[in-house]
Amino acid sequence: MGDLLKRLAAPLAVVGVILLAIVSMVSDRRALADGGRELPWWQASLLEVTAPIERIVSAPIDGVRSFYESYVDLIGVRAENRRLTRRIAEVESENLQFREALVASGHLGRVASMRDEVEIPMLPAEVVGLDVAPWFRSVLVDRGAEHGVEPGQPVITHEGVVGVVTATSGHAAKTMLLLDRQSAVDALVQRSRARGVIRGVGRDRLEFEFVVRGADVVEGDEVVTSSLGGIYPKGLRLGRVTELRDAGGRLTRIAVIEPAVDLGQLEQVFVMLRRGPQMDLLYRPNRPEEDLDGPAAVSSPPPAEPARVEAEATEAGR
Amino acid sequence: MKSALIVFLAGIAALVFQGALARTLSPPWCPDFAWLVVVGVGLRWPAFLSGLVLATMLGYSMDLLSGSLMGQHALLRIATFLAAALAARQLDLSGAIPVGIFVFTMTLAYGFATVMMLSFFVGAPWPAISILGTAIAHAFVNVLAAGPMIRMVERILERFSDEEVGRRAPLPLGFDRGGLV
Repeated sequence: MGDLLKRLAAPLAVVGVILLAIVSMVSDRRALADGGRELPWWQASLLEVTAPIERIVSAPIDGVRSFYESYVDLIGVRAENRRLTRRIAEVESENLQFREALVASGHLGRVASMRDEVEIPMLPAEVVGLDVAPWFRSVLVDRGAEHGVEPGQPVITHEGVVGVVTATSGHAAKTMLLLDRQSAVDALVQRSRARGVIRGVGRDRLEFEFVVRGADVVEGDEVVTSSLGGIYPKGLRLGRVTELRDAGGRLTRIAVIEPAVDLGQLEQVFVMLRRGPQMDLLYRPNRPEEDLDGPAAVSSPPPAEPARVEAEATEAGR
Repeated sequence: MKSALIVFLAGIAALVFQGALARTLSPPWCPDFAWLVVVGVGLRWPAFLSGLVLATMLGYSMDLLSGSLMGQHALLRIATFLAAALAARQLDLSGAIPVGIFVFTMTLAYGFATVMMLSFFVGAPWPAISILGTAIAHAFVNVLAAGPMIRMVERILERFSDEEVGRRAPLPLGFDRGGLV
């Protein structure tokens, strides 16, 4: 009996660990479908230990990179400065014209009050590590459950959407980037309101799949979140159409999207801390009129999100 | 036991280092040091069961720091360990070239298996031919880093293990280096 057990130990161990891994994957898949998970203590503890170490290890590597980039950036900085000064003057002038137009149509006050109501508290976080496997696109940030970060919360920068928090420990959170193969976001073209789904394909570009019939999508179009799916609020910038592809006679077409955010050079991001009934209203794709008289505003003051305000202004104007 | 603990810590250190390095070297060009530790364990570890447990633990650690499903890297690292252990018993993998070929092939298989599993479990797009470029680039850098990582596992075994490096409990697999087991 002892001999038999000894002989069976290796095959049994192999079957055991394989089954364990498969069960873990299936349960993780279910947790992801429910919007992510807070890690159990034994997993969280490893993340807690590695996140600060990764930050320390990153520091000299980042230092060398930043020194080199600073040097490279200095080349042509004068010309760039002149170009930007001109651009600022143009943008200021355009901004003034838009404000005039809004005041004239009586929308400015409404847009301002709407912003006060729907502003989202945002938590700044630093990216301390990138995904260690080339087949996945995720980052580790230095804010976790202790700071109010929860799985399912969107992560953005001032340029647009970065991704979504998928798992948290006390002081760290794993964020799946838009580029990841598991990522799919409901989106719409800002100009024509054509709707579709943006998927990550594991490379530096995204794919926007939309229904051909009646859809008006051209190169250069800005694509924003639609709020369907309940993760991202409406109007956050996702990227710009760079190429249209024929999907081979199917009902849908594919547009290649350049992400709004340079996801390879992430350093500081903001976690959108969804809280309160106003957030629920904001996240509802089709808000009935009666719900708009809902409870009062959310507390914390966030940095303004230009794309969202822009979309809200468009909505208000319609 | 001591050597297993040290190899595990070395694997975690490799994970942390490659996570930080990935910020400068884009993913396919950053070697998977932690995976190479598992390959080293598969090729050189004397005891099968403790090697299997090590591979599983290192796989789960990788899952924590990666965007994969929990258990995905663990499963693939178990497969890597089994393949390496089997290859070490059936083939002569003592030279740099055979080890390089083995690591190159395993990296390609690992990449395709990862993407296929994602498609199966989360409905991600099925692997297109475009991933071949990423896989080959990653396999190439893994081959370059394989020698030092496998050497490191050997050194840990030499320094901390009582057992002779290269001596393994025979598996009932058939031939072992030209002789019947």
